[in-house]
Amino acid sequence: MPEFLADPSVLTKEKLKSELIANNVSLPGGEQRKDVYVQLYLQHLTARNPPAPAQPDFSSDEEREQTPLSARNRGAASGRKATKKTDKSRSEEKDDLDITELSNEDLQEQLVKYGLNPGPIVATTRKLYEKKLLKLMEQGPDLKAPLPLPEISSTVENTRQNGSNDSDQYSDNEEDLTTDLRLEKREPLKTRTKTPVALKQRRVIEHNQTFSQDGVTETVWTSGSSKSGPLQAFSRESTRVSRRTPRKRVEATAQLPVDDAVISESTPIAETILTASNKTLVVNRVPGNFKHAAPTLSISELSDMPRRTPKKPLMTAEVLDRTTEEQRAERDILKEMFPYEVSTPTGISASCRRPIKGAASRPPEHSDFNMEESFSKYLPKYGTSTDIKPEKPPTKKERSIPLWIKVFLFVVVSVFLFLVYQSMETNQGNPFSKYMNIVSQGGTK
Amino acid sequence: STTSQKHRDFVAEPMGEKPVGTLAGIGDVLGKKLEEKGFDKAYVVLGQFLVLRKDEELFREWLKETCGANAKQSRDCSGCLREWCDAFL
Repeated sequence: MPEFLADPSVLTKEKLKSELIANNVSLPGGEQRKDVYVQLYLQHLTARNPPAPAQPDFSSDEEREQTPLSARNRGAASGRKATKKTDKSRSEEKDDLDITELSNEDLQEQLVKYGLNPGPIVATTRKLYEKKLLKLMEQGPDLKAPLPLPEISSTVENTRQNGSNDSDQYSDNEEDLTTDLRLEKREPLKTRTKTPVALKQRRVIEHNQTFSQDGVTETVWTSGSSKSGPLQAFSRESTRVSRRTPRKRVEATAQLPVDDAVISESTPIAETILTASNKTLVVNRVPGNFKHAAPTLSISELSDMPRRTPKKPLMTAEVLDRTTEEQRAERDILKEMFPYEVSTPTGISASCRRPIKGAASRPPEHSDFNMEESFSKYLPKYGTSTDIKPEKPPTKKERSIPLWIKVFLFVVVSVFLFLVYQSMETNQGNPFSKYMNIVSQGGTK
Repeated sequence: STTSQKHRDFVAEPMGEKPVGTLAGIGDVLGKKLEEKGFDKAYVVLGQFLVLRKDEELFREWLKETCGANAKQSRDCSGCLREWCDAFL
């Protein structure tokens, strides 16, 4: 065929190869990327195209540089689904470096500069890493050192279910803070085996302590607040992580500019790093309880990748340890806040239910009567509405509310019936006297 | 549970020479596409996953590029491989 395509990327790699071979173009050895063949095709074959655009030397260079870009763009867009974002990102100006021209080692270097830890850059992985580098470069050539920002396009898709809904974008610091605080107030000392609650509790500790003492908390709070964003995001992530399918990771979380030596580790360990750094914060505040806990936990967490289902029991055990430590700390604070509450491990205090006198084989004894008790016992018998006292102490709020309603309604209905009965007129005599008179009159006639 | 039967079956034992269609998320169509590209056995796809340092996100992107898997399919596949690695690697 004398006519050669101007856009060879519509052909498959095999077709490209065969076309090149058919036109006596020497192919590079081994399996190359399609772009290589595209370039060769353009170089040798499109140039021979009769109506081909004029190709003086300087412009052919430009074309060669641009067309692979655009070809890749078009190829990517046409072949696959939602790669439009990457199209846009690629068509934007790249900096001084042309990423496709980078060697594997250079590409790796560039990725490392952004804090990534790329795997081997091989034929199959090169394209992915090029794309990643492009994204990173566009997101900020100045942000190289500490903050590899999450990939928005891919991460947004990868929420839900297996991905476990992490890696949402981390806005809404305040909302999370308030919800966390609310959660904490409702269930102050409940232990949960999930890391995020532990984290939230810890954060609330920080908050509580900031409220109580002003002096030292400034630094803690500021550092805490700077971390609160990613922390909450992380906790939100990990809630969902631990919820059912503990996948999806935190490589998306922003790394924190904290100078822990640990943070130089790769992003998959960012989770553990965050928890470790969080713990160090708390250690400042509550030295006794946490110091021994923190190093063991950080070590164990570093060695263990959380969110694996087989290793979940390990995680929960550790979390339990952590949470019991925290409870001790929390109890100190909460004792201040609620001095009259009974202190129990779970925060639920239930007193023994008094046996109901006068019920099932328990004869009432007058010596035991309180005024309050008598009312509650006589109520069901007489149906008079008096002060209703709870039979059980009011801690079991869950059940007493419907019980109240039931008793009240019963009383209302019984009172109503009683009044109806009372309001009825008392008729003297035989209701059938009228008829008897009629009959007797009829009889006499 | 939120894992499919296919996932559970795959993760239950070493993959050996299982074809790529036994991976969770990879059905007939995707399996064929992968085979065309040379990924005819599950272990070859595993190889790609490992070369990407078990980075699920990158792997999902690769899968999307290679065979056109959608988000759910790629998620299922990456999760399946990751669990397999946890269990056997």
